[in-house]
Amino acid sequence: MAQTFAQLYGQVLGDDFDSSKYLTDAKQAINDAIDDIARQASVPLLEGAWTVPIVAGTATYTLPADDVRLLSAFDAELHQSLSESDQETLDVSSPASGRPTTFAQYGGSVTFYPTPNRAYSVQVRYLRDPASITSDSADITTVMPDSYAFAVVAFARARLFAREDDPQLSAFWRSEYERDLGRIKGDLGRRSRGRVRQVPGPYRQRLAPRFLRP
Amino acid sequence: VSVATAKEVRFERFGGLNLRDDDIADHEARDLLNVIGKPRGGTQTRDGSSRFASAALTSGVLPAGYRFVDVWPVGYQKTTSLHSIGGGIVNKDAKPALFAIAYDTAPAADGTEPSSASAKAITVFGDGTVVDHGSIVPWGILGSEGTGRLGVATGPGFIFIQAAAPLSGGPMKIGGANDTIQTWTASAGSVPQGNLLRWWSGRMIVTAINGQAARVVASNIGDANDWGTGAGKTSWTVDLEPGDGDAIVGWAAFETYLFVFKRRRFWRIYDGETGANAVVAQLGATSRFAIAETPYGVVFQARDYSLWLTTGTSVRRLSANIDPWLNAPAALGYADDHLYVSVPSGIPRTPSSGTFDYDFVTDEWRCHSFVATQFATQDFDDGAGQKLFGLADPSTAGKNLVRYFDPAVNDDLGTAYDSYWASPHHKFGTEVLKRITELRVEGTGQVDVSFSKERAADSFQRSLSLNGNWDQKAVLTPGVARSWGFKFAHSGGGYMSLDAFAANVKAKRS
Repeated sequence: MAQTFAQLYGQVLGDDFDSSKYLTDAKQAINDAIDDIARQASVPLLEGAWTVPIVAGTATYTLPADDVRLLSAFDAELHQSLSESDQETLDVSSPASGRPTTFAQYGGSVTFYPTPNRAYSVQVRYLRDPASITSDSADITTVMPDSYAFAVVAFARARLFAREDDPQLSAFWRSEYERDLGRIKGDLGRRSRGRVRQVPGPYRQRLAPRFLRP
Repeated sequence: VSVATAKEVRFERFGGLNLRDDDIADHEARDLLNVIGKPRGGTQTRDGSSRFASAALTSGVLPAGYRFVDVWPVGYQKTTSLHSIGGGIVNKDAKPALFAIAYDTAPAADGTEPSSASAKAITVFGDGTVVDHGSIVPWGILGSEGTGRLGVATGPGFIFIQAAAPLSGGPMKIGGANDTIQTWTASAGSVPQGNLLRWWSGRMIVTAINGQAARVVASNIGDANDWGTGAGKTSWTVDLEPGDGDAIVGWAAFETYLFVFKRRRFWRIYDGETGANAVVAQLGATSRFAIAETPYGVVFQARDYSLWLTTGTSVRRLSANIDPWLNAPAALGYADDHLYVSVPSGIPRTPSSGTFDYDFVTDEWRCHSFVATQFATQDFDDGAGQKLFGLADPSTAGKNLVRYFDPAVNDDLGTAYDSYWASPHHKFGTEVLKRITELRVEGTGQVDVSFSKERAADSFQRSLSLNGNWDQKAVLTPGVARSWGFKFAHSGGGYMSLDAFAANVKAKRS
């Protein structure tokens, strides 16, 4: 059964921390743990997609509020990826308008180059900042699989033991967290177990049928 | 106890008050209320107080508007004839009892009996039955030290009363075939009129005599009625430094001595045959209520309100640990190895009134919230040992004869009381920051745990429910401080019982 927020901070406090003193810290540590995991592993529930409302003559668009970092952008009409650049490169490029081929993220906005001359269909994918959990009855599966909950608890307990001047237990729980984080990365870093990952050799043959002149 | 590395520091003794903070030991209390010691060092909420014999007194014996103002324990010799009282058999066999005088008028502010009032004399037995001896007239104004005090003593076959009598105007006694109030008539000489009388060394002794503030008079041996002098008579009269400007205020007996107290010094009469005496110390007593007889000696309250214990050959201060809170004249009582010292005011905390409790066995002081104007102790031979009785608030009419430490109740006359025990401020070594990760409490009952950090006021942290006969619960992560005080409290009805507490202490890592 999926665990609730209350169950999670109950595990964090355990028999070691007074709830009246550490409940707020425990809740914050759980939310920080989810953020940390989301940064270091590609948690599917914490990835987002956004269709940019492109209009002619506007190069820069404000990103969604929960954006942390853009992962990619593509032109849905041409089925081509846009190249990622940096804002400084676009700053020194000659003014141009037309179909965007490049994007850069800076200061909560995304800028396209050349400046769109009409409404193109461009989508971006981005890493989402998970909303803080506040409700005791909130289900952790809304942000990540239940099987990763232990990593969240370990992260929070490591922080609370550090607050209690207990470096031994803090280090123990931090190592528990790191071990589970490695497992999460392993899970999420390889999206398709069936995908061929063979590196092509110099004598490779085409997979498609060959048609030879008779 | 110093803490270099993390360790559990366990405390298994909940000792008595020590208000000399610099000298306080780890097991002593900087504050406590309404707790008693347990035999193996723990502590628990004391038993409550109940109105004694109130059911019997209600049936017309004690009219509305009356209140008890004086109470005395009386012994076997009084009660041999009580079986015929009240038209039925009250008590066929001799039994110890309490004898009390009730007035329809409040006493004076200093506890002096009212000079013009209606009064009744009543005997109360251990099973709560009462005997109404009828009305008496209070003593009245004598015009000397001890004005208005009523003298009562248990002598052969009678309770002797120095009261203005309804019959002949002389001293009175209660007893005889019908246990009646009758004139105390001297068979030889005349009965001296004094505010204090007692049967000691086979004689009736009277002092605090009108116009003779230093005089002690003894009857002839074995006869409270024979005050004759001369050939063949052994009655005696002694004057203890007459003309010194002081007056006899009280007395007490210990071993073969009778101690007689003025306000600035006291004597021991060491020879009951002659009244031969000697000054014991340049210390006196504040009142007749401020003197208590114990098996360990006589305890009295001196003019600076401190308490002293004397055996006649030595005098030592008993109240050093509570002197800062002992700031008012007290009423003293003794029962079962405990001395009780009740003060109406002057304790610099809430409540400012209360009763200090000294345990002769462990040499520890505790304090309770109830207040009595007088104490009387009696062992009714019912197997329950000595019981402590007293008078509560005689200024208000009611059946105010109270039994304290009644195991059947856990409130004081229907009002719930709180109890707590507060430890010293532990530094655990040097005055550096220490972190306590857990405070574990062992015992039973509902316990509110508070902490005092850096000697600040106690701050409530958590309530613990200790179940069954024994349980342990912990208060987690109370934090960091240089010095730690622990307070364990119980509110309202029920009780708490504590056996030990233990702190997980370690140095704070900066």
